[in-house]
Amino acid sequence: MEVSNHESAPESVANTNVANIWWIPLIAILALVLSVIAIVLTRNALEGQAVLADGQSTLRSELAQSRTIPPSPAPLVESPKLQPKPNPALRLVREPIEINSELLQAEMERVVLDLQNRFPKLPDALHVAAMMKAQTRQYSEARKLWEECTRLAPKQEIYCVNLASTAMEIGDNEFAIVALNRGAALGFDSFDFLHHMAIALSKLGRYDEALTAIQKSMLKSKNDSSNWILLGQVQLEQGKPSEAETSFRRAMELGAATPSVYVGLGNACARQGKRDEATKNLKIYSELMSRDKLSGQVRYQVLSEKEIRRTASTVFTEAATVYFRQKDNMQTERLLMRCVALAPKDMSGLRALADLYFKTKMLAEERVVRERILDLGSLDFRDCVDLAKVCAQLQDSSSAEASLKLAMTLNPSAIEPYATLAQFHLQSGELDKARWFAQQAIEMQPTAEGFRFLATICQKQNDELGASQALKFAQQLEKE
Amino acid sequence: MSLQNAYSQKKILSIFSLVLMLCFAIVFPMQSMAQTASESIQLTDVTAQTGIGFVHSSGAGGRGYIVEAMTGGLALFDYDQDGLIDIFFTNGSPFRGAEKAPATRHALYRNLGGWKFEDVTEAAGLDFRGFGLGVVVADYDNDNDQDLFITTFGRSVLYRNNGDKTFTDVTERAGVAGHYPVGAGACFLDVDRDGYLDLFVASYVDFNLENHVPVLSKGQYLIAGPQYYNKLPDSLYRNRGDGTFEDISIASGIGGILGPGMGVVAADFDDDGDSDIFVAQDGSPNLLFQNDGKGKFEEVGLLSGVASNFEGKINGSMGVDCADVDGDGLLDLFVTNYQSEMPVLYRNLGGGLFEDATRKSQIPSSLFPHVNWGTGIVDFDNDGNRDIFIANGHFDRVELMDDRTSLKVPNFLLRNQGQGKFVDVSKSSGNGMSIVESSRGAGFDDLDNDGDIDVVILNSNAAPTLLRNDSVNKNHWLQLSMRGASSNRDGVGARVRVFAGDQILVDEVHSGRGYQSHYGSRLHFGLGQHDQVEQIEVHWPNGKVEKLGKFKANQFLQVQESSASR
Repeated sequence: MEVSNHESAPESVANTNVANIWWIPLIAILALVLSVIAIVLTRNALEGQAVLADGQSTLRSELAQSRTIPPSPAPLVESPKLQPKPNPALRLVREPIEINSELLQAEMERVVLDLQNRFPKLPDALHVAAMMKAQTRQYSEARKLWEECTRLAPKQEIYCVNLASTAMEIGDNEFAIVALNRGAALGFDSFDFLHHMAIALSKLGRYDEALTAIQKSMLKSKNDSSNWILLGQVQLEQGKPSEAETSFRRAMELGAATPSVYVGLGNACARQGKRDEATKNLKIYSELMSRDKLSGQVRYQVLSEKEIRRTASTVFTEAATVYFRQKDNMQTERLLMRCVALAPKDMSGLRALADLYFKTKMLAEERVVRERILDLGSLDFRDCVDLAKVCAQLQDSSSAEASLKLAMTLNPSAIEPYATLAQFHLQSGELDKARWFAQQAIEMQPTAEGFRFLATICQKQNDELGASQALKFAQQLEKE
Repeated sequence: MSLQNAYSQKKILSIFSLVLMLCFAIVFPMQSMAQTASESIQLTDVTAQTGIGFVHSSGAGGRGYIVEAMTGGLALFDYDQDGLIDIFFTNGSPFRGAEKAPATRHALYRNLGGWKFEDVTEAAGLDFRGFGLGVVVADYDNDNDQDLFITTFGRSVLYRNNGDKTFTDVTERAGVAGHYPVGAGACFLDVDRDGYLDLFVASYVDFNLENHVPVLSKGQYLIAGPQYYNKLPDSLYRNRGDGTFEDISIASGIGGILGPGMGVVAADFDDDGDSDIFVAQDGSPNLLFQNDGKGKFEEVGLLSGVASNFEGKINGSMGVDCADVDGDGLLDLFVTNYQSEMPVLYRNLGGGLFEDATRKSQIPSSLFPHVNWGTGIVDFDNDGNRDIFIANGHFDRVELMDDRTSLKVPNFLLRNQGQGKFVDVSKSSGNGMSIVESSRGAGFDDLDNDGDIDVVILNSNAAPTLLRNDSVNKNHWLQLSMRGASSNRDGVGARVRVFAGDQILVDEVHSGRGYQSHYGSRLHFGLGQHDQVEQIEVHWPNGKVEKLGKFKANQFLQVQESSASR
């Protein structure tokens, strides 16, 4: 059998024949193949959906978590037992629906109320309600809900942080400290938690304590520029302009280029008599601020049309996550479909819906959504790989191959499309192609798993020498 | 000027006058203060007994015109020179949709003593019905009585005090009607130290009924913010000394800066002997016009640290007052701001620099949700530490959109515990602090001449509030009326240092402060336990420094500049 003549393929492998003993490592190789697929399939489609604006923390989506941890290993082509529905029971909205902001807000309220009624003692459900209340400036309600969350799930740091954030929004910094101290007693010490503690303390002018919190948070993440800005602000208020200047400059080194860092640095320089340096930085601050026009809607305390759509999408996605976790797939689908209707071109909403269909094995529907994602011009090669997978499962090998080639085009340096294509061709019996793609993948990232996979192909090609050499490389890499 | 009429109402213990050989001063002693052990500030609502029937109108007809939110300011001044502080309220006027509202006019109330007031608006010739926004008072013509300047939605108006309890509209002759449609705060100051008060007028935005931006939400029109309209420059008029003014906005450097100005205050912020101007701007960087002593100004808000808050946030600033809150002898600034913004205390560091000391000074964050307007840095309990009063309220039914605040909310009183550290005493300072209205301008003066500072608040679309200071304590006080000779007659811009024991108290005469208002022409010093002052040092606007010897506490003094030649 001819071997690939790829110039950079390991010579000893490329020019060696192997004995016909392919069945020996079969089981192990299959496991490796599956793990490669698992890597490919790893994605976090709902990432970002759970992020609440303005520093509100996040609710980790069950859907997102299920995608973060690779799903059960499965070959690209499902077993013949799986007979997907040929026609998808799905039509996607293509253009954003027209909806009055007030109606949308009322719909959000209904969704949240339903959620609360169904799961009155479920912290996740109350958390979604609290997020919606905070976003729509019903802070008292939000505060009550997060208080209840902290009561029901005291060890969930996110509830404690959100409770403190809401208290600060109301102007009750003292209570924010009480809530955070409660969390500290429970052992919360994440960067986010300590950063909030430092903010709350500095708002109360308790600078020494704020500094302690900042120092602790620095231990968690010394390269977070926001922490250095906060430190600079505290130092400036403590009358230490020189130290403040150092902190602001460090924040800049870490990439901070916000108005707050320039105004802080400008003021720190001015107080040291460095007038030129102060003027230079304050001028930059001024230019940045002149681009940041005060939103009229912010002034009214009313969410703009855009903001309310974004908030509704977040709330619906979060609510969907709760329903999914509670195994109510119908509600999950309904809410995610609503998200798509509100923002038909929003990739994260579509990915969440696709992931739902993946989890519920609604392959035809999953394919519709994933094709829509690519039609919208996604440049994320993982979207291509996901579409390839579902096409393969639907036994549409040409579409699967096309998607994987697109993935390679979008990200030629990513190993996943090559590895997946190799595996795909292996399963369809196109061994030369499988070998070529496997060698490409190994060239990019030589791994023991990759060489074992290559060995499998070689064995199928009756290239015993190639398989032997590949296994030798695999063992060598494992030892290293 | 004589204060005898006022004193006779308050059981004057003795009256005497002194002429000091080198300096000045006619001295009028007053009654001692009641002294009890209580240290708390008590502000009692006495509105009902005052006979004041004024009800403010924003002119709202349901369309949400921007100027509805802005009206208005008030002035506390002794228009008839009887020693009792009188009150002038600005008022709006009905817009389309509000035609059925009662006719409105501004109102001048004469203080009759004993917390009784008489509406003398028409008798005084002030029956002017323009849409009032701000007001400022000063003796611009140096004829020994205080004149009135009103900013409006439309032309501004200058009323000359005739000295016989009447006023005459001299706007056209004086040339101060203005060029811009929406006036705001104003202040008189002597920019070139020639002894005549010049006039600074802030301009808000280029709004008229035709370019109104409607904003509809939840079935009601909200008031569009200033960002929807073009910004305009402020104006500076030089007093020629003959009753007329010359527009020197461009020549002075003032007119080249655009922005939505609101409250203003003039003072010598950089201690170089001339008056600078601070302008609170709504959603734009605050301005600090630094005077070169000759009437030329450089805008230094950004470099001085007052343009934004500590983190660079540009606030929607409304009102402003200045005084020394931390006893370091430098004039600090307190600026009230819009909803979801903390008011900012800018501490004067000297050398023309300020720092946002809001958090350090423990200004309570409970102010954060509300829109703050009128303000005063006033020593309510005469302990030598200046407290802060803040008037609050929205202009929309904001409670429908944000549950943290409301159209009508209580005002705040922050007690200075010393060294510029504050504590919120609103809930323990008498029934006057539990009033819930949508307040705007606020003024602070000793309306009953009992030695402590009372409060007058203009409430939007409601009756005003008068709060009598009923604080009981053993603290002493001193009040000074400045009379310029070669300096302007009101002594506007005079910097006064009072030496009492180990304390050095500093203040300056302002014309125009707070939220588009005027108050405090008579300087008030709380002396704490000091029953006398060792020295009074006056830096007159013309640069002359004069010193007075020892004085007993608890009296009113009229301080006359020594040179009579102008």
